[in-house]
Amino acid sequence: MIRACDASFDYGGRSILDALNLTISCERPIAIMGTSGCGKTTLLRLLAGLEQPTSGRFSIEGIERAGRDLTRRFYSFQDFDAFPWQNARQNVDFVLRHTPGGDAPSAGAILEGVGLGAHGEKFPRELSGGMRKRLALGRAIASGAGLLLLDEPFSSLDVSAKAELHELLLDLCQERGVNALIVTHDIDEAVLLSAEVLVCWGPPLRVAERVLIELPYPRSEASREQPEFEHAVVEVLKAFRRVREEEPVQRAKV
Amino acid sequence: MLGGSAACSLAACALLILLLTLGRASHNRRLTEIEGLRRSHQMSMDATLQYGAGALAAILLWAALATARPDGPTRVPSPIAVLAATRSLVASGELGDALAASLRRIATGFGLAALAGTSLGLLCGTYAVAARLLLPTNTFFRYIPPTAFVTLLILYLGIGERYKYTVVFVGVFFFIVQMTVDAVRDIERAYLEMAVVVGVTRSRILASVVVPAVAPTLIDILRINLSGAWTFLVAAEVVGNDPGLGHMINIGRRFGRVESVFVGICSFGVIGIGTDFLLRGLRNRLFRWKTLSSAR
Repeated sequence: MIRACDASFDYGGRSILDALNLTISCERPIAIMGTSGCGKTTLLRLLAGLEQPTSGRFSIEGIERAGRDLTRRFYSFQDFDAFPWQNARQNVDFVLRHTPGGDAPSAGAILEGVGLGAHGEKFPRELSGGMRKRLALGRAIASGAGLLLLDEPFSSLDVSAKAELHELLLDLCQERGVNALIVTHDIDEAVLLSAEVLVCWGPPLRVAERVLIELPYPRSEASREQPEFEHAVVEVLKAFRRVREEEPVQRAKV
Repeated sequence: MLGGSAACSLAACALLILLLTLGRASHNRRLTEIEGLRRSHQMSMDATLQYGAGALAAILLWAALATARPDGPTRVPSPIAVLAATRSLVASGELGDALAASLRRIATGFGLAALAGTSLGLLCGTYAVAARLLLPTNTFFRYIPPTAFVTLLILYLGIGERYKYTVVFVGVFFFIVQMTVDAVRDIERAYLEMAVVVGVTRSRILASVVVPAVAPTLIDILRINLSGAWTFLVAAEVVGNDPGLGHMINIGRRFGRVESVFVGICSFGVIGIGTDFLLRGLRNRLFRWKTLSSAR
């Protein structure tokens, strides 16, 4: 369970979060959608412990100062997947070295698992966009974290690379019980991957609508063909339209 | 007058070589001819030719100057005369002694400055408290012309080797510190955060992120400051009577041996091209990742 209690965050004299109260049950992955700049990334950064709230509190699984408890969550950056000075294997090793606990798989096994078995010696800049995202997932697995904070993890990927990565993430969540908070601008992706879509507005960030996704588990790319998928996509679109209509003042500002 | 027309034709030759090379290059419309878009560091036939043409034109222009001013105490010795002078200075051991002494001073003075300067720069670039404690003082010294310390250093250290090492050290140390700090501050914030997120502690971040991220840039910083080190070495070597390239130049001037002045000056250039080439090669070999262009 992720909880925000009266959490505020100011940046550059601007209020990004203003006394946000939010409870997210973390049994299944959750998608966060909303206009650019509404504070989604800030929310993830606060949960990752990379920013401290100006006031109020955050807790993950009841533990405050979640930022200090590093085994619980892993944050993946929007535009940076790995250290450019380390090859793929070294990048995974770097995370493994800093992960407590002994039963972690080897870097080679992790790379194999994300389909980079043959590319361990390549530097990130020698990998394609899709492969770099695989590497990012490999680092997330290496961290052993139960909660992944993914900031637009698969943006700017081609259709088939995206599909393969969706399968990887679904497997990770369904088989290993890993949880995820996924910021995305892709409605199809949000519906496919998550149990609930939070439609956000801001700044200051607020969750305007919560849409439960009633798409049966276990899911895979094939779930897109089920009738519930279309239905869920329409529900999210409707939620967005309602939010837009309710927020005329903010629209005018943009 | 004969010298004048010969000089003109040599200069014209140099110009012609440059123009011909340029003319040939203008047919090459590949985008990789833009430095920033270059992909490989491999040399093509054309590239070799262009390097050669540039060097040849420079030597011809020198020869033109020499032909225009062949005699007297203010003569410009020709490349051939300088080559001959080099041979005799090598034979007498004078050049060897001077080179050995100067190189030892650079190795010591610059080596210590590089070690201390990059270490301090890494610390100040990484940890705010170190920056607040030390950087203002470093900036104060960085703006004092190093040559302004010369009198003081002679007073404290005399004019022996320790003095010469110190002048070289003082000449580049404060710059190396600042340039290292700037390089560290240029590291993408996300790389530091990526380390923090997986549990790298504050004390470990220097070794695990900062050093690998800036290592290639550090070599560039040292490359640039090495040329500064030679400047201050010459300033130090004109004092006293110990051998050294700076001393050789000074003595040459005093006794009207313009050729040895030229030999000394050219030695700096040759050593410089050599170390620059070595350091760049080292950088590209050790840090291949830096030479990869992002395929985004």
